[in-house]
Amino acid sequence: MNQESGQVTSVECFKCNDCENVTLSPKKLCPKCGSKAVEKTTSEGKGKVVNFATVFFPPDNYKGREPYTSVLIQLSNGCKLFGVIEGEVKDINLGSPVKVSKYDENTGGFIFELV
Amino acid sequence: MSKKVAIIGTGMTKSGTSPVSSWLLFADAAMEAVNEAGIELKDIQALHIGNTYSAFSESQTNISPLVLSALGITNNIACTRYEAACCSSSLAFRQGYLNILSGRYELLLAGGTERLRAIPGSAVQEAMATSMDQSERNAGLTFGAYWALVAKAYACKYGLSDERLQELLAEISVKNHYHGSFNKRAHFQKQVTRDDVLNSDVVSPPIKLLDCCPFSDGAAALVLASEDVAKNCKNPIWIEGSGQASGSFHIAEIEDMSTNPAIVRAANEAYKQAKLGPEDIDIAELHDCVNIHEVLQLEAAGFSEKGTGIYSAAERKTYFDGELPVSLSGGLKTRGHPVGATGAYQLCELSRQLRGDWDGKNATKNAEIGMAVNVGGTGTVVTAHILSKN
Repeated sequence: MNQESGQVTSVECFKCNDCENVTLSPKKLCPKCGSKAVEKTTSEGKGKVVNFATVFFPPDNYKGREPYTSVLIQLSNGCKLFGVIEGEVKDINLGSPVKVSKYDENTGGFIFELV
Repeated sequence: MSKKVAIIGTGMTKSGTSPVSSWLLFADAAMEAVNEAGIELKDIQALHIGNTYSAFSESQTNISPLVLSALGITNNIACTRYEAACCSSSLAFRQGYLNILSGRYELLLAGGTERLRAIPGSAVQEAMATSMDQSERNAGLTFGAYWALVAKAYACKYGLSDERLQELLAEISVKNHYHGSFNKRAHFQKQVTRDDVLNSDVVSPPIKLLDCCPFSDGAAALVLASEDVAKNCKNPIWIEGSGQASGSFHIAEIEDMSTNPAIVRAANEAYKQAKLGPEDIDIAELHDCVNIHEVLQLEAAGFSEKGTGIYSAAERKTYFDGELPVSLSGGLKTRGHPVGATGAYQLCELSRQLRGDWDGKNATKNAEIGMAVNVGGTGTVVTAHILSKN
């Protein structure tokens, strides 16, 4: 991940050079095709909403921020990752365009923003 | 090599809140199992025990020799602790089973124990969350949110409205509370209505509080014996099939959240070994940590067609008098979820249901073959066991 003035400018992921599958977590073998040709890549952090769940009973590191919405997004390179949108988001839909906005130093998680 | 392995004794403490440690709890369950088996503790050749959270909740690790100490076993037998979140004790059971099958041992003790209600609820939630990927937890994901994602993926795939989904899920909780109301060892022995479930607090939409199981303290133990030993025992329950599989650890990498291929694989491994299929299973104990999970297991183990498991309780198919009674114990929802002991509870309960001496709600039909499915974490570790009374 890279940041500029508190804004995330890119997200580090791992891409299979054979089948182009991309994951956020590092792998020795591509989980899709078994290739060893997995390398670091970056994404500009733009994608769409795949699924989301609003949390009313938060863990300790999110106390006081409830309700918030934990969102699963798919970046334009295919990588899927979770992040948070504050509040019980009413105008969110599957497929809504979204971007990785900030890295939360307190929780170690990403903050997303609907675009 | 032993050709077959049997359960010859079972023991369970009441699930709920325990004033004593996990190792003392297990000692109580083990004595009940040993007495039921009609053997002496000194005859036990090894101990396999599941436990998940003793490091967090009791500031104690290395609990398997501590359990031997609590039992007063001083003959230096092998003991091993297993940890795989909610699947810990069925892994201990499976490894005990495989140890006897290998011919190395004839008689051993397996099971699980957990005591986590002595620490605050928020600390339990933190400890539970460590079974999930750290980066996904940091992104605000909780177990409740994970099950909400699963329920939404299921509803989306099969075209259910939020309202219909919640009604059908509530029926599963109603069924498990009904069965559990007859189980004197259950954490909750209370019936609930569909409206009770629908009006309970929202955890993570569409999941509500009464869709979820509680965290419990409890211990369950089983005496396992080789065929040579078991054939001289009264009422042995035979282990016909044992399967184990692993699912995606990272939730973001799950291809389709409406199912879990690890459950399919574990169940198929057990069916193949037993030379049986889902149509041969008379009763089942399933892992309903949240009620949508019961649906996934009904479908993945082949009891329901895809997209139909959600209707099972509403159509009374999974009630004690239905075509496949599921969780006569009351399931995790009401028996409770002593995490590192839950799988062992399922196997004890299933054994008693098959033997015909289960003191809770019994199946109307004559049950001869049963299946237990135990799942750890977010579907990451799965076991399936098929037991038979003949």
